[in-house]
Amino acid sequence: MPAANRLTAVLFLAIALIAFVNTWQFSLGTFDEPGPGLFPKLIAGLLAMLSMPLIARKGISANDGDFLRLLRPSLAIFAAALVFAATIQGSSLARFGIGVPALGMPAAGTLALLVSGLAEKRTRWVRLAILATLLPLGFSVILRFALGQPVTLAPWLLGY
Amino acid sequence: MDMISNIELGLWTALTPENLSLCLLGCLIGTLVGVLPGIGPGATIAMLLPVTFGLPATGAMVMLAGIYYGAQYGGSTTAILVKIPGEATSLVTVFDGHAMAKLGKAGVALGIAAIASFIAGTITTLLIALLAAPLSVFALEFGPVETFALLLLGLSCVVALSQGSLLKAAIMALLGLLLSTIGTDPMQPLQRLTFGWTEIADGFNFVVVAMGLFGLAEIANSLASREDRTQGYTRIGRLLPNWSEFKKSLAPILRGTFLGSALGFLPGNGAVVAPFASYAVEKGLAHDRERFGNGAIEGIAGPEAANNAAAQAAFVPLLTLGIPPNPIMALMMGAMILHGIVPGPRVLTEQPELFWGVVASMWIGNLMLLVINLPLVGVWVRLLNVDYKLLYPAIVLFCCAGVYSLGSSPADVAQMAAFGFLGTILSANGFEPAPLLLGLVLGRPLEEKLRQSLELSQGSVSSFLDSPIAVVLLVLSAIAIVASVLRSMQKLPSRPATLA
Repeated sequence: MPAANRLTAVLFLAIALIAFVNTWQFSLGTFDEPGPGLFPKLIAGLLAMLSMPLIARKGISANDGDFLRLLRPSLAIFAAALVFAATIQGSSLARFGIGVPALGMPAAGTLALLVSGLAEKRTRWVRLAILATLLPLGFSVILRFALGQPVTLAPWLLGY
Repeated sequence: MDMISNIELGLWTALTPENLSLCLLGCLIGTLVGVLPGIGPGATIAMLLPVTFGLPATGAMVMLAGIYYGAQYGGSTTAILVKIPGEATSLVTVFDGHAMAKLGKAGVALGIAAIASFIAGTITTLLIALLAAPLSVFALEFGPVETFALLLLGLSCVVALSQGSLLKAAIMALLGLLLSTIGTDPMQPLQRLTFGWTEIADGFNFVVVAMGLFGLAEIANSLASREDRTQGYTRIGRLLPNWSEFKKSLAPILRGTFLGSALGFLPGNGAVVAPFASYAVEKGLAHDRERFGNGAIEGIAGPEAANNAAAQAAFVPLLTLGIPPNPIMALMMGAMILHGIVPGPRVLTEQPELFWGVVASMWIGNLMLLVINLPLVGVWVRLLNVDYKLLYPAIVLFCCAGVYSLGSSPADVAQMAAFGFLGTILSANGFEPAPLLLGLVLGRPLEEKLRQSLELSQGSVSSFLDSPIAVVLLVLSAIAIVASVLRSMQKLPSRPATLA
């Protein structure tokens, strides 16, 4: 497996190249009137340049073990937040024929917390389910009624 | 106004029931996060930023500042009792603090840590009161050239003082700078690097990025590297040092305070570096160096004073120059911006209650921590047993709901998730998130001032050399980078993680 370090450096190089290409249309300007392309191109160029030595390094990095160990929790936490984002107001992936209804904060929070349970190998699911039901509900009620935040509770049931 | 009337104004502001309660709340939350596993002051401040919306600006800053220095206390408690530095700034305290605990003197170690922090906090408050006004008057003279040079110095110091690889820190700072260019051009109505995505037309929301990098990423990091924080602790014993122990500690406390203040005033993460510097000084000055690491009280007193002094002094560059010297100050800057306050020299003249109120609250907060924390040490230690499996779902929810409440935008939550994932992967490969965050914060003004400087000087780069202030600042930037390159070439031991 290629070293994670090098993969990360390749990611930086790709970001730099995308930025460079995307800002190509913007003028560099002149010294007395620098254009909108100057700073992003300068930074993208420097980023690409500094990524090169890391790509050139061979072998497995000492951090590769950490990287693999982190994949499970980071993917689960990432997925949990995405589930929250996708369900709180509803969303649609029309191209795939998927429509997600607006669930409101308590239900979106419950789903997110259940997904976050995947971060651990030995999650106690019953305990998590109880927590995932009560915590978002309590939190949403506090946000809406105590702090006056415009939080939707259960639009599919209560209409708000 | 003179210094006395400034302090008086600060005390009146900080002593209102509302600000006093917020200061106490901040100190308690800070101590809690300093003690609790898997959550640091950076993540907490990031998570609480949306909550501070409903508070007055001064109250919000007082509470957030309380969290910052409260966490230093909490971190020292775990460092001494269970050999786990709650915060990077408490790492040095482990050496002699835990050794003292093993000798049955845990209470004395905790006591001297609290007293040293309090003395350092008191002296630093006076130093801030003394230096802030002249510094902000000086900063008012800054034009685009000087401001550009200062911003560059801030960024250089963050890169130079970061942990591990200098190259990786520089890459992260550049990534932050590149992210700052996303959105509308600062000088022309043009959209850059948005790829037609309207959600980032104004660039990335700083709070969203911070919560992803420090909130969500910290959860994944903590789950992956679960520490055993439930190990037993030794008997606490008496809490106050006796006269001979106090006498031995006084000079290290004073040296640590001045060292910490000096490092805290400078851009860079002084609060992390200062305890190491203080420990090195105390060990160097000691006649019997072998006591260090085996329970030398000076090895706690100096570094604890230094880290508290540096943490407080770090507010000065933010409040007077508008430059956040470390990621936590960048979050504070975010809080100020959320409240419509532009950090910089004008804060002192236009918002004197905020400036002096925050400064005075630091002293009051330190007093609160001294009075509250020592008797409650048993309670804090019991919190070490809190199961992280119960804690992390709550943090996930807090992050998601907090970011969503910023603008009722699910896109913000999705962006936070992406930055959380990116932050976790990058930190696993030794790329610290702190320079990225600072790059993101400083990038826009850096570009703006660079372009303004060039336009005003009609393209003459020599304008950077015509200003003596800019020359000094640019030379300091170069020294910071060259020194850290030399350090990394000599493979000197690197410093610990800078945040959370």
